[in-house]
Amino acid sequence: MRLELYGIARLRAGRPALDVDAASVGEALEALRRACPGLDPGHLLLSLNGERFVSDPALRLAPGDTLVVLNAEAGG
Amino acid sequence: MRGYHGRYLRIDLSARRAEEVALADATLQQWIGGVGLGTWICREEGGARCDALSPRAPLVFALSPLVGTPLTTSAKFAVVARSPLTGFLSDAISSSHFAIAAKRAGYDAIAVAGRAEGWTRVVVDDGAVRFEDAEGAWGRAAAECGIDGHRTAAIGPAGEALCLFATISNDGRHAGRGGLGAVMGSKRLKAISVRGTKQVAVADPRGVVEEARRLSALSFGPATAKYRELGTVANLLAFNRLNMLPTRNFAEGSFGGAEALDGMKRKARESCAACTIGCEHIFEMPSGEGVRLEYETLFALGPGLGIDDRGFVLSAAALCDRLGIDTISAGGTIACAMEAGFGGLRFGDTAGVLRALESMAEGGPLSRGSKRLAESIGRPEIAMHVKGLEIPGYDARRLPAMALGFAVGTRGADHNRSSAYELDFSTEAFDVGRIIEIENRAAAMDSLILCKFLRGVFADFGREGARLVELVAGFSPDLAAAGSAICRLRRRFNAECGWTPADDTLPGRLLGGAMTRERLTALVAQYHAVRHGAG
Repeated sequence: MRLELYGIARLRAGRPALDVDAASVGEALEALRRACPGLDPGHLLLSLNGERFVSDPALRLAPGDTLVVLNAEAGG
Repeated sequence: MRGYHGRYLRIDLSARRAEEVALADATLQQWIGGVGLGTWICREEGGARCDALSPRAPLVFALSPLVGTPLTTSAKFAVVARSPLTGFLSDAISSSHFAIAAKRAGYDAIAVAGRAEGWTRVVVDDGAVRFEDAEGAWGRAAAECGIDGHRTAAIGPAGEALCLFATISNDGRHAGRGGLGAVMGSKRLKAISVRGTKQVAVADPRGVVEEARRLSALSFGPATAKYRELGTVANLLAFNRLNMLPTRNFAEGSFGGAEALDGMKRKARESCAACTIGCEHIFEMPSGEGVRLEYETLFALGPGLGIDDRGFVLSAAALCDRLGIDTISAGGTIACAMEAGFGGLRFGDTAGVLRALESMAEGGPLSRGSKRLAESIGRPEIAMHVKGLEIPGYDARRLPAMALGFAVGTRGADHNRSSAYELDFSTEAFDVGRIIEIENRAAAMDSLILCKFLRGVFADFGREGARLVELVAGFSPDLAAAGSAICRLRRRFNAECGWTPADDTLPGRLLGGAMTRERLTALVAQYHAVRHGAG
């Protein structure tokens, strides 16, 4: 599955996306932590395929899914 | 009471006279400062009972107990008046040195009414007031209107021309929304310059310093990283990905040119006075000069107009700064004109945008906003506004909480006074009660005043915010109750201006799917039942 990165996540990772092996939201977040050690997961927001926000680590992901990783702070 | 001077300054430009008005402790404790105190003074001074541009209309600059302390982001003030754009209450917040200097001049607020015979500068110098001829400043940008040793808030050419979305500008920032610059222009008040030495005592000086250190440390953490390291322009690509980036007058929710707009060259990062976040990102224009750019300006002058030329957007933003016009309303009005083909304007027409912006500062037909423009050409449905205020860059079709927040906003379509998008950008369920809680918290923050970019650092804003007031002013407000009372005061003001429930709606273009007009009407009714029932 793919992690699409925006904002601080993209800045910390130094790239716009990561392809990772993850079967759940929790596994995807763990893969993101390994790739971006300085990233604080408490200030991230996850959108499943850009359609709905998700947070449950146990939520299962399909191989073709994309998790869009955003800043939790949406103000502007 | 500590933290306050206990008085405001009432200035009558017609009579060239000023007097001090006492503020009771109970009044200050109830309305705190900023938008709360400013709205109360504006209403007491008759702001809801006269036309926005009449000489009698009050224009209130309201400070807060936290101004002048070392608490991060506290150097802010609110400007409050009846809006000439909406006909309802408008409160706009600006920041930095003007706030500190105005408080040191010796007042908790300055209320200006009347109309000068010619262009005038009011100088408030340590409690003394004088009126100076400002005819020589006519036509100048606000940034060119300062005087040595003072801090100045001024209008640019758009305010002089009574553009209905003209700003009041100080220290390179703007009290932007609702056309308060036109109110100032209608009084022939070009500038107000302040300075002083009058410090107020605080209740617990050591506690204030300790809390300032704690908040400053938190302000360097992850809750503000987006604002500090990237600025609000980071919203562009994220919103585009989520189909929430209003494009071509809200015809679409994503913009093919978003990637092209991203990646502007950063030149510097700056802060307001007494701020440790430093969210002001300065980008390099094609000329090599720098200009501050926020997401809302980027949206309004870029995707909203079908423009993907980042150099142009930066230059247009600088032009808006110089002219003194609100970029959201300017972009929304031009987008409406582009959709109609008004004056030959077409989406993506950069040269046309520059002409349109200049015409706004000359009092041309676009200076009256999208609602009046669309009505004048018989196409009211193409104006993307609520109560006459153009809609910011959050696509309400994908954001149901923000849709309701926009609809019920007392100053019109307003992301800052509502902040209901927080619910949309979460896994929480839609809940009218939560939308009201968020709105109440925003009203409390805007009255303390603290920057909303700081809100993520508080574990419990109600408790921690009250503690700040207690350390400074010696009383501990119930901020949820205070925020609710301030929101209800705004509604009372608007009711006196002729508000009806029919004003709480959205353009038809933003309705459909799950948010039908019937559902929105029901949600608005539920909002008012909860707001007025639970208070």
